[in-house]
Amino acid sequence: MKEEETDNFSPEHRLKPADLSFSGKARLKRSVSELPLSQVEYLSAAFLENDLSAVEAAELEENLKQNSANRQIFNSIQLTRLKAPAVTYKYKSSLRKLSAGQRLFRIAAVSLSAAASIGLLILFALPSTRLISGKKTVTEVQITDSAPVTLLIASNEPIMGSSRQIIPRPGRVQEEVLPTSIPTEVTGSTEDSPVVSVDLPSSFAVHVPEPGAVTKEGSRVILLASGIRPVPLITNDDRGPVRKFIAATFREKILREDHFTDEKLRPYEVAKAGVEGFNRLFDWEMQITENLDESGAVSSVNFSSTLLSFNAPVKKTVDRE
Amino acid sequence: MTVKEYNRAVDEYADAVYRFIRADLRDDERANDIVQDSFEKLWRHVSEINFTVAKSWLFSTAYHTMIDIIRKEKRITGLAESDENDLLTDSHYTDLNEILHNALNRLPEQQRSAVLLRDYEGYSYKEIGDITGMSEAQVKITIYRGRMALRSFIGKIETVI
Repeated sequence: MKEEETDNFSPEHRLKPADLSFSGKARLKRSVSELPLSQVEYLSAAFLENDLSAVEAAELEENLKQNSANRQIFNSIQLTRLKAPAVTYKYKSSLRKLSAGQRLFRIAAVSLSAAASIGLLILFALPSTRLISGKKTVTEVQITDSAPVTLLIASNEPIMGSSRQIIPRPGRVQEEVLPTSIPTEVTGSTEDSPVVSVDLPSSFAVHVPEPGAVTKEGSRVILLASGIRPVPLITNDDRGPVRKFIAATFREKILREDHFTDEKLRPYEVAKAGVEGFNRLFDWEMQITENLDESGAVSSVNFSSTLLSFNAPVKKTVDRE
Repeated sequence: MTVKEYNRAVDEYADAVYRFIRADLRDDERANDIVQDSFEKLWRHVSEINFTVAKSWLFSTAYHTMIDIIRKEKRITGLAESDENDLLTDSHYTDLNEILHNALNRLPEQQRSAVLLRDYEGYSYKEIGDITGMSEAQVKITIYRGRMALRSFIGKIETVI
């Protein structure tokens, strides 16, 4: 029945409620301490979610004060809040998008870094030729007495293009360039070669071909030394402990070599580390590789990126220090 | 949303989406794939989506992608029901949070996601509802049931230990 219709009835036609009251009200009433277990749980969870009104929270608190078992339930529910682990998403850079300006900057940076890498390679990979041309073994000899040294060489030519005097000192080597040619004097001859006598300083390093090797000029070289005692080759590593430490650290931390040493860094290694660093930093895809010839020497360096790709030949160096 | 805002979304929300999916799936690789996929979808609709809703959009997309994956896997492999005994016999737990995260894996998917969104991100019932497709009331009761289940697991672990 609609409300409007009921309103049409006159008051005398309406039922009047009996003036009764429920006598058992007191029995129905409950105190806070009587909250059922399920409701304690529900309120405890709601408390954790910060969903309780001030009155509800006060009632729950009162219940918990009076009931230690409920307090335990409350406490255990409060423990169920999860803490987010300290995990970060490590591929954010791959998600980022570049604006037109950033793309332009990126292209410019790629080109510049490529040019810088190649510049580095050229700068370090092409050291000046210091010794006699041709592939030679560096042998150090020491004069054991002051008697003239007798050398048998292919022709009556200066023995060496250059030489260095070595004054041994503990832990380091001091070098001094001597005149490029040492006067020689023919004192005899074998079947096909003159015997040359030379006055040399008492201690010096001489760069000679291996006996039997063929010189650049095509003549055969045989070294017969009188009063010469070969001594182990002194490596020309005059780096101090700091530079060695830097080299070792670079190999360990940047190149991530499993068995790293403090061996001198090759320009290619530095350039490659630089390229890989750029790739990681800017998510680029540049690549640098070295090509070796049959003897294992670097013949060329290949650089490739999305924009630029080229192959740079590397001049062979004579000095194999 | 502008490109700048999109990148801001990457910076601000990628971690959170990743944490949520990773905790839910317990699989780094798949979580990574889902994050990538979600942002790819966001990028495809970048102009249509306002930055203010980007976070919940991302969570919602990631959540539904995850659900699709879970359903597909269940269809293919018929994943075995989680064995409560596994949890109880694992005695290498070092802290409560670890226990809870292990117990979380035993919860039904909806409970797990709702609790994670609530605890990790502090989302309201309505926001969780928007992400998961549940009503506010459903979210509330789902979280409540999830908490009761977690509490039950904690109690069992404490008993065993």
